[in-house]
Amino acid sequence: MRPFKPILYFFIAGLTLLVAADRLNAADNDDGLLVVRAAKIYTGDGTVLDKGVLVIKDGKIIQAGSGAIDAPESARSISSKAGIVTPGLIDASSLAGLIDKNSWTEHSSEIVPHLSVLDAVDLRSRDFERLLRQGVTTVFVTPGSGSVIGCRGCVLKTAGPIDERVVVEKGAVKATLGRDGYSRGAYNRRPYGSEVSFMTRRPTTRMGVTAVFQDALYSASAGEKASDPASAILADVLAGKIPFRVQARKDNDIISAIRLCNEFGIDFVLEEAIEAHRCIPELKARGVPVVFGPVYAYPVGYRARTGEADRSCLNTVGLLQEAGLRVALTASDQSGEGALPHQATFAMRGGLSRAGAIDATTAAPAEILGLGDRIGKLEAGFDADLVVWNGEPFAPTSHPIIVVVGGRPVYVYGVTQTEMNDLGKEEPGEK
Amino acid sequence: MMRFSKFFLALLIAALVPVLSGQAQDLSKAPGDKVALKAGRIITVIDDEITDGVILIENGRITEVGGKDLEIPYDFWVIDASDKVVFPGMVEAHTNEGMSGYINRTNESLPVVPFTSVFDAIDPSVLYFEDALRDGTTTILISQGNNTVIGGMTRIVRPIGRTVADMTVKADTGLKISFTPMNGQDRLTQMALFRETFRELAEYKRNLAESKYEKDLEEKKETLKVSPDEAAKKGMELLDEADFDFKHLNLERLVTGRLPAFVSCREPIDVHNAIKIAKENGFLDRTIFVLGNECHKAVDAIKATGRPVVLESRMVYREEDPLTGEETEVFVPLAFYEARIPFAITSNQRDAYGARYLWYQAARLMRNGIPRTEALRAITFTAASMIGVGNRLGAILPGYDATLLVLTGDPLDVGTWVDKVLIEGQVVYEREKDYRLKELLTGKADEDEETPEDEAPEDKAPEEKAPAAEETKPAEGTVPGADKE
Amino acid sequence: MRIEMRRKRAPLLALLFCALFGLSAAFSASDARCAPEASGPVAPSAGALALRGAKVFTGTGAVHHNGVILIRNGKIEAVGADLNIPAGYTVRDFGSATIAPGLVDPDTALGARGSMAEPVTAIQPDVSAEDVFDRFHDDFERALAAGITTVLITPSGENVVGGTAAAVKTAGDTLGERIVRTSGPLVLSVGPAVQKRDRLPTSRIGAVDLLEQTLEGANAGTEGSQRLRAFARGKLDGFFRADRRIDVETAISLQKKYGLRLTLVGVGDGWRMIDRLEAAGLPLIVGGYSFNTEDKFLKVPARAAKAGLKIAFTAGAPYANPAALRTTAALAVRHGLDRQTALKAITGHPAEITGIAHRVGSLLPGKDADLVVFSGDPLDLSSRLLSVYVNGALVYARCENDQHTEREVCR
Repeated sequence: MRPFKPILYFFIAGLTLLVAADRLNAADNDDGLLVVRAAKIYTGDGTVLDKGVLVIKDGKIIQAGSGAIDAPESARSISSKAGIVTPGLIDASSLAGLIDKNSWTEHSSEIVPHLSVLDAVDLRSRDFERLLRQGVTTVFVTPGSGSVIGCRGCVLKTAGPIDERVVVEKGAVKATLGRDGYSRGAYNRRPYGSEVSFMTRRPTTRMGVTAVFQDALYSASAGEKASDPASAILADVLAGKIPFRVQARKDNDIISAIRLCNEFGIDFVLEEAIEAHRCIPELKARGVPVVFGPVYAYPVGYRARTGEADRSCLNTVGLLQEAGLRVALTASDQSGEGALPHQATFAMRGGLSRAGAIDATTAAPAEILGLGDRIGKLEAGFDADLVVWNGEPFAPTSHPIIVVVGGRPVYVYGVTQTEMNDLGKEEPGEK
Repeated sequence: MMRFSKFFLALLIAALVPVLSGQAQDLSKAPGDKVALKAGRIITVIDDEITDGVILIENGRITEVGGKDLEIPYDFWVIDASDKVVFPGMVEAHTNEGMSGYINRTNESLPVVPFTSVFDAIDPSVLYFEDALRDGTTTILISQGNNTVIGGMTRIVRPIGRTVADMTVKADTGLKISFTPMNGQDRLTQMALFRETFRELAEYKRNLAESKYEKDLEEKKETLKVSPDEAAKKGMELLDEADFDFKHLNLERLVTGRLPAFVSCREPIDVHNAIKIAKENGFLDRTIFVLGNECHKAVDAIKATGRPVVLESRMVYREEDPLTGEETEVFVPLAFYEARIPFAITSNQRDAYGARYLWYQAARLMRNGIPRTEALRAITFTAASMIGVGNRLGAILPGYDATLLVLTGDPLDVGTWVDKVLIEGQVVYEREKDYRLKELLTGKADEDEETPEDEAPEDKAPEEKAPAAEETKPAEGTVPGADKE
Repeated sequence: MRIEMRRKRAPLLALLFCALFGLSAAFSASDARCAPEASGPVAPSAGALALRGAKVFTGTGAVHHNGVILIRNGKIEAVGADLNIPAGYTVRDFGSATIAPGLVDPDTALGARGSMAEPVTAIQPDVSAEDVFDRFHDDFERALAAGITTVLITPSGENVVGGTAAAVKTAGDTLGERIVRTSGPLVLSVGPAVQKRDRLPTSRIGAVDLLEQTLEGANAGTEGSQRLRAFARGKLDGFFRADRRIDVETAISLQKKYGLRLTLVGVGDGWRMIDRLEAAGLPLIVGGYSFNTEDKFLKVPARAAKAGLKIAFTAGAPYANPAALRTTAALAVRHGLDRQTALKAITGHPAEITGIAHRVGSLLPGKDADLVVFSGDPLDLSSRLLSVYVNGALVYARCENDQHTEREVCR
């Protein structure tokens, strides 16, 4: 705690940031109203409000504008002369809160869309606090890639009362093409294969993966095994009632994904598309939204070991946006200096514009998650999830100074969680 | 006639010599010995910034640095960077990179190996050096890893050259010593090994002195009349480096203050042990601490030694309170800045993408409250000074090596790329000709007409120009981002 | 008991004496150790016994000074201070000793022969711990030496539904005397131990789904064994092994959904979720604590009791020594739990939680005469265990070297 206190004093001691701290959490003035004023507000739809003002009531934005605004005296306020506001960032492919990041996939079958990743998520995990400090207010927790058709992801807010954290309990079903889909098949080969266990089964190759994929979807579309819970879910996917995602890293796997989904007439979102820059015409023709990240020149960690991540491009998000595709930037398994705002920093370095970077971390992921009317923008009717930055968002020297989720300030730079809790009993998340 | 043709032959050869010697350096351009660099901004790191300035370079050295009024002599070759920013080549104060893959391990299995040197392991062809040029790191101190007791000799290299000798800026720049127990070893054994090593050195030296004295007497045809102790004492005065065997030489240089020591500590207890041993054996004054993040807890002890430190690339120390479970984060460089201990920061090629860039590490320092001047120095002058080349590298001053970067913008701006790199006056990297970078940015392997410059500005919406300008041009002495801290 | 032999007796007379005393020893030994099988579940000591101690803790909170306990046919007939002892009762006066109910450990693998998990499939509602109960097992000697008179032998956390636990006494001659309850509780878990490589589930996601499907079917009456259906409809009680926060959350949400009768077992993360536990109001089984256990865990019983939750302790046997049951209670007291609750946590509460309180866990008329005699307060670790009675029979007596005679004397 010691090193942050001087910074806090540094802020308050007459530089340009003004935070009305004692009015921030006056619990007795709680008519649910909060006013946010900043030098600039990026609303997430391309508009920039100079001397922007937001009026928030009961967790929703009721007004967004520039300059003076009528607000009652009793309203709590956050005023920041030099601060710049963006909507809360959204990570559309996160591993936050997973209790075991090495194995959260159910391997008893290749086709498990009836299962739910939320069962492996600890809502009180420290990961969410850390995301909050980076300005990320909503995440899609993505299922593991070890199954051909895996389970369903979930959408969570990173702060707020526990009962309000789950936005979508059972979201998109995630399928995987490429090496990850058959990597469990390694158990089929000696020395593991010397014992026959229930793991001794197909697939062991990409061909096997697509065969299993097609087989499952054929059965579902033909109405066979209708009582099988997995089949029932796939039938809904085929009918367009449940969203679908496909993880594919290499260009040939991306092309396979497009081909397979065309075959069954399924709209899908592409995830972990490291070589998307090599398939732009095909993706454009099909209008496939893409969740891309992290940005890197050389793969490290587990990605390096997959052998599918060597041909990357530093400007994939920029190139895909130029082609008119909807792209969400994600930090995926990265944290610390690899967290979402820093991914945006390096996407910008690779050629993405700031407006494009803001879109890729707010409105685009919101739309991809089917929540484009609720999050990702600072407009009337949207959730009051926003970040106040100490400079232009995604500049290497910038960081969040205040994060608001559901109209409540849940993070203030330099203030610990305990102190936040004491500041008028506003709990960012139950402990 | 014969004499005339011999004369011409000699002339021909004489004319070829400079050409031939020029080929020995693996450089892309040899503009001659006199270069003038015109720059939109010159960040000297020591003195004030200069706008629209000129740097004069002769024979690889900076001879003058000035503003608009500095006249460029007619015979200087001019590099026009008047829309760009010139910055000192960045300094990596301590790295294990640059040695060939995992085939050559970074550490010898024996615990005490002061006779080894990274000279034998550096591989000029590794990608690290190519990336160093691209990312603007021009001075690199290569060292063995921390999994040792007393390791070998470090070396400062430039990322250009076909052989290690060509690459060397300064050889034998210090001995690597580690106080964190080696794998499979405990602290007691580690410390005992230190004491044993220095005790053995003292004994060896004593015996050496004694026999030197005896030999000296033999040569003078005199007889030995004094006790062994006396003989040893007298012999000490006769000893010089040449007498020591290769196993003990570097240790001798260490304890007599002729060799710096890069002392690696992962935990605060290692710091205290290091100070103890260094004091006991006379090398505390030449110690440079290479610290793990937890060592911020030993800031007071380090401050008392007055020695500089090299910090870990991760820079954030996390600790969980055992009773409440609450996590606290400490930004480690801040603790050293507040204690006014000179520190250098390092990069990491194998971690988060941004951490591979020294300029990004410096931006992190600013983000967490360290002023811009200190942040920039931590990757240039401060780093160069502590590793022993502060008199020639890490700043733009007359007399210093012309090892400079021409940047497309402010060093801490995300959109800035290294446009050119000069090492000792020679242009050794040009972004225009960097095909690998083009491939990374466009995703295309072909050498198209497209250059990265065509792509980047288009994407930036017009409204971006204003804030971008804010970031690249400092106004009235304030610096981008700093007034928002 | 031994008799000093005077050296100068004639060998024949000596032999006679031995024979006589041997016989009587055999008779008294029949109370303490193995005796020929009696027929039917009948109390072994049909006699009438009166025990006296300086203090008698009944386990309900009442303490009787100069307490007297009247026992007949293995059941407690009366308890009180200075009661009048009718004629015909064998009286044992324990002097300054304290008498308390026999300790109950609700979660052990004591006396089990073999593994406590049938690993072939993860749902095993019809497995019963009764089938691994070995009444001749050495574990019971250790349990008695720790003052434990009743234990629950529980299936482990390696299956999602592991089967039913069995409540057994740690002493008694016949199987009938030993078994107290075999119908439950049913043991469940979604902890890391259920994840296997060679059967479903391989992950937590699979485990939770399996449990949810199983309960859904059982609750609807379409699937599952009778036991499972009873449990899923709130008619049979259950233990939910939950150490991690996330597992406790799953337990609480399932309990709410189906109206299950649940006890949370383990609750290792309890220290950081007391308010959630309070809101759920489920009873907890925690422990065993040792002197190595960190403070944050040792404070949990006090905080839970303050929040109005019912707590019971377990020693964690056989991985820990059964004596850890008292240590756990004592450490909890040291960290803020009141003594009364601490004593209940090793007697009445585990009995109530496991549905056997009508027989054990307190010294009240009509209950089984299972009690322990300590030289002082049972929660005081310096108190020595002197005797243990189960079903009214002396089953354990402390043997010490008599200072004067240097021979072993058992009280």
